[in-house]
Amino acid sequence: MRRAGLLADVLLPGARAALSGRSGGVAVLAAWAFLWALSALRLGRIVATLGGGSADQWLALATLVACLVACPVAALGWLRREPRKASDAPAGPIDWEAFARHRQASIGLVLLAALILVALLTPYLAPFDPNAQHAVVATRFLPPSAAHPLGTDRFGRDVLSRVLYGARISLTIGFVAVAIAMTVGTLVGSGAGLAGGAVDAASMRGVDLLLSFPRLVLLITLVALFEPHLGLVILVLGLTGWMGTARIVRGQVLSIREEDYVQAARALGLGRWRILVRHVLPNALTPVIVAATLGVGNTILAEAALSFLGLGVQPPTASWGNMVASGRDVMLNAWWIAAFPGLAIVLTVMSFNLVGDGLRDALDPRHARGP
Amino acid sequence: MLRYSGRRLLGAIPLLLGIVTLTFILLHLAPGDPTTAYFNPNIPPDVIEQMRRNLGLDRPLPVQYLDWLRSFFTGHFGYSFSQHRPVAAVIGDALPNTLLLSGISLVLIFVLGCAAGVVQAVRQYSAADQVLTLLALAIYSVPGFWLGLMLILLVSSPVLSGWLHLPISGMVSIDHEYLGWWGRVADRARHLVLPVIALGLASAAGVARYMRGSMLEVVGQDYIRTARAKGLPERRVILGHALRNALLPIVSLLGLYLPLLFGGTVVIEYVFSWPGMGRLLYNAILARDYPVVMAATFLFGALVVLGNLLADLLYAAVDPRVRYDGR
Amino acid sequence: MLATLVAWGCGGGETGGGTGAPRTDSAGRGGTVVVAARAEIPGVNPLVAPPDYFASQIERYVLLMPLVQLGPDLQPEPWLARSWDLRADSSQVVFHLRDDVKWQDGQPVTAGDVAFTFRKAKDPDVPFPNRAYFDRWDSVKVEGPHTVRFWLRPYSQFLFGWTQVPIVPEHVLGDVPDSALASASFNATSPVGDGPFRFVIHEQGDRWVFEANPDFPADLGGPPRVDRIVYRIIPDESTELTELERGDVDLYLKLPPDQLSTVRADTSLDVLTFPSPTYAFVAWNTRRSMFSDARVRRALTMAMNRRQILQTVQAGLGSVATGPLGPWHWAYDTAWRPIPYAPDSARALLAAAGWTDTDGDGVVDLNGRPFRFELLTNPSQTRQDIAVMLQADLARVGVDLVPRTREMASLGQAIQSSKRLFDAFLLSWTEDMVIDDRDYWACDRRDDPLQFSGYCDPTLDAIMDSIPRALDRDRKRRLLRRYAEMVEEAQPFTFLYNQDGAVALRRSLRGVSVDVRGELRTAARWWLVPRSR
Repeated sequence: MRRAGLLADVLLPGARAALSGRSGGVAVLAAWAFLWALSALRLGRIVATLGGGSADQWLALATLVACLVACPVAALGWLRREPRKASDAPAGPIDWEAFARHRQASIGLVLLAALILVALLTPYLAPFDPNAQHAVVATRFLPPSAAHPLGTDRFGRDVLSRVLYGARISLTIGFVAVAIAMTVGTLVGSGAGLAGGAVDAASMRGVDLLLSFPRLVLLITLVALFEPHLGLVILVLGLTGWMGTARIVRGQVLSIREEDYVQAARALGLGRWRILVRHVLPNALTPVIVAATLGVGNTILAEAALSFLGLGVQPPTASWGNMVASGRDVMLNAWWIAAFPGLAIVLTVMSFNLVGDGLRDALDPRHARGP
Repeated sequence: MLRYSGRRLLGAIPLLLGIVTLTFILLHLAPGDPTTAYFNPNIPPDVIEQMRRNLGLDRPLPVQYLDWLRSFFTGHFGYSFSQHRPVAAVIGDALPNTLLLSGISLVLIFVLGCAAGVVQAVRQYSAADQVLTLLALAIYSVPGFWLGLMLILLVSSPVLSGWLHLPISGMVSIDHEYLGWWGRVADRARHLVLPVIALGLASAAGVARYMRGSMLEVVGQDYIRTARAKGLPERRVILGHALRNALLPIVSLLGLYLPLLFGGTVVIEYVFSWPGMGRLLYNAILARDYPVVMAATFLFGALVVLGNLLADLLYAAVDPRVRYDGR
Repeated sequence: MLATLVAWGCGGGETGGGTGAPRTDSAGRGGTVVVAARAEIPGVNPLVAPPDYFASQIERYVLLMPLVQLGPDLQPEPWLARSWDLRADSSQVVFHLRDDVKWQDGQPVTAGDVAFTFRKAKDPDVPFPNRAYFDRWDSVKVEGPHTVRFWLRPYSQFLFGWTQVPIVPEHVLGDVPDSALASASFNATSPVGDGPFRFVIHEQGDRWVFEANPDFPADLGGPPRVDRIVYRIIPDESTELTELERGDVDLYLKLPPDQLSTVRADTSLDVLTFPSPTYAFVAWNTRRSMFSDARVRRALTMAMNRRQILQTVQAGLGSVATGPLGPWHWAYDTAWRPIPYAPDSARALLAAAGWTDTDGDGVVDLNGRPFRFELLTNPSQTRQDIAVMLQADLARVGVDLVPRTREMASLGQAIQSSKRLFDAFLLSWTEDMVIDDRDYWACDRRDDPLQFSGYCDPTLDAIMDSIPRALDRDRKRRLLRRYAEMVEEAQPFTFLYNQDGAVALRRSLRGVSVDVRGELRTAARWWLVPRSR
């Protein structure tokens, strides 16, 4: 019996959990099926990768293999464990179980995982090369069909492939820019909180200054004045998004500074920075993670707006914002060019918001009110 | 209250000065100047030099900066390089349009957002709550420019355009001057419908999320239970007692949404051909129209400062503690 | 050769149109014509505004009057000037003005206004952008209320400047100091006109409204047939098209080629096209060694599938370029054929110049350096689209083109500064109607901002110098052709395509005629078919 269960978990991971009504099982099973289907359909490309592929393709292959291993592992480990009772105390600062019970958050997380997976697997998923153009005049502006599920654009390029490749750009920009913002924000916030006095007052005035300025206006001013390219866009998005984090971290530093254990550490003669790194930051980290998750969504929206104005990612690189922009003037006779990248933005930003909301509830039990 | 406002406004001066200085530095760090933006093979080089001298661009930067500050404090903003009019006139034309658009959007954001939030909180866990929650999250994630395009697509589709002749660009119809007073108001209102939706809907969804949480928190408080126990009708409990207290934290959201709103106007004005500040700024940056860029960024900052001050005053007005003190 | 006039189709029922604008009467008089353009114009004062395509047309054809107008053969014809006398040695010209033209504030238009306009245009403190028009015009004297005499040094097409620069009112602008001229209220707040239309209102960024001038002289056509023209600014192309389809816009200027098929499919709309002096090109920086060889430049041109580019970005509106002279010009030779698209020949030509793929990486190289260059362009969708297609084309002959977009102001800086920090750039622009391209190619201007390519050939210089001196049209035609053929041979630019101008209009708007002289030229003769229910 045990052995049969083991075999079932390896061959059809998640199936038993799904049968017993756990949604996690359904997700794992779906992922398993999807991965095998993909491997079968794109066998040619996978073999071609082995014969010498680009970094992109190797990354996709590694992802594919890793996920194929991860599914049974998840089925054997995580899905076998009994769900903890709601009344039990959470183990860490983040109540992961509460998060998992939060329906919206789970949907968001699954969506997000799927998005990241899609972004990584794009070289195998995309039906066409996103920048390939052949007999332009004959293949342009084709409406959605079996060959081109989302139609073709003005160069006869496959919109679906471009939307898929666009996911990488948008996610990369979102993650890198937010990482920059979080780093700067944490540094400024903790610096201000620890230093106190005039430094604190001055930096918080600076934060007020930047916060009181419409971010998009600042972004447009910065990017339009200089040459628009990917690095600049990421940097500018990062450097205009850290103020909220700085405030959060400073607040945490100020409140935690007075806690007993920090006072004790100080009495023991530990240095300021050491206290910061060992005691303050880990506690401040959780609200920062929430802010970061929501921040990625906002950053993707800001990038899309910039690209829409022609100031973000430059063609031929596909970004959802510049795809909407390029479909704008032909919207009335080729609506699919602008419509689908926009939907992709909505879906992505929404999944970040779902996860961020769920995380906040999970962090702060006061807010937890999932059914 | 006046003294408080005065102090706040005085405190904003270094902030605004900072914005102006930052803009000046950025403008002059960036490559190009107004004459390279007018790049045109038919203008001979010596004329370009002449234009540069006429615009005062041949003087040292500190002189230009001080000159600009001076003209700024005297209320004379210089003239627009690209439109050949005084900046005050250029801004004076655009500012009311942006204020109209963002003002109406702000009302929509808070009225619609609060209403949805209250409905959700009152019927917590109902189907309506769940649907509205998901809907709010989805709408909150929609980029305004895309929503604008989709709205245009929608109202110009053959199905809708027949009976719903909503204007999709500009502020007034061409026969505006021939309409009566009510006709003009109606004409403006019709032109506002789509831009306001595109600009405000996402923020309204955001407000709804906050309002739901805020309302739930209040409904759980003792005094609400007491009010209910006293046998007051539910409607009065909710609208009379709970709503006012739940609105308090929402008012402070104003400070959060104002910069977002003004930023959003740039894109929405572009999509709907709305002749406002956002489009003005965008075009001025591309044309390197320094005086307009400086004046416009300054105004955006000043608007947010003013908005925040108003939010604080409003906060004081709706805060019951302040009201009780006054009695 | 005449600029081609493209006729518009007539007839067609009129439906829809939701606004309650004043109706036209049965004779097709009255009504409001709504013209939609994408950008605001920088005012209507020709003395200070940078040259703007539509601002200039509004000045010349709607609000103000130039002394002379260009006729169908691009020769000057009387307009504000009833006639002119040229002294035999071409050193003096006397204009006799009409005496029946008034400014909209009731003041008569006089010789003083002409002299005032000329003096301001020559004034070094006035940033008049087209000073070159009057380089060889020396002085002016008012000889009567409607008579004015000029002294000049003779050259061909000497009246051209007076077709482009309309006369402005001295009684309005005379008191404005030079320093304040650039922000005078005349420019964009309250202009005073004397043309077929009068200024009514300007809502910045939204619209300009003009109304028919009832006093416009009868022998110049009399008052316009429509009551008003509204020049609307709608920056978004899809909005513009939708407004046209719904009947809220009558004339849509600069129709983007992508929308051509939509407009053609709509039976209530028409498209008019005309050969325009606008062309797209790639400029090669011949100071860089990789572009110093004419064979290489020619090979790159051969590798470009310019017909496909024209089909894709212009929907075929235009022609593959045969050199610096486009079909719009009277000296254009219809026997000219473009350099053919021939990737194989291109590869051979590159190999002849020493560029071969020795390391097998797909990119040709010379002395260990791969053929890789940056193509700068500005953030326009069309230009970026072309760059994308050029990248694909050149990759086929082993040349690695890296497209780089720069915002216009910084691009202008890069290509005009004396350092010339660029390999190649892609732009399109509109030529002046008088061809004098010494700024682009002359050896002695290599350090001037517009000599982008750094190309130098003394023989070509001699020909270019003789063009403005040729007073005889046949001789001038021969010289222009010789000039164009030499530039095409050397390929310091790759001329991609000559663009056709296009407008879309509702069939209810009649009398529109577009050609190289502009889209608004016949504004005073437009009329609307009465709307039928």
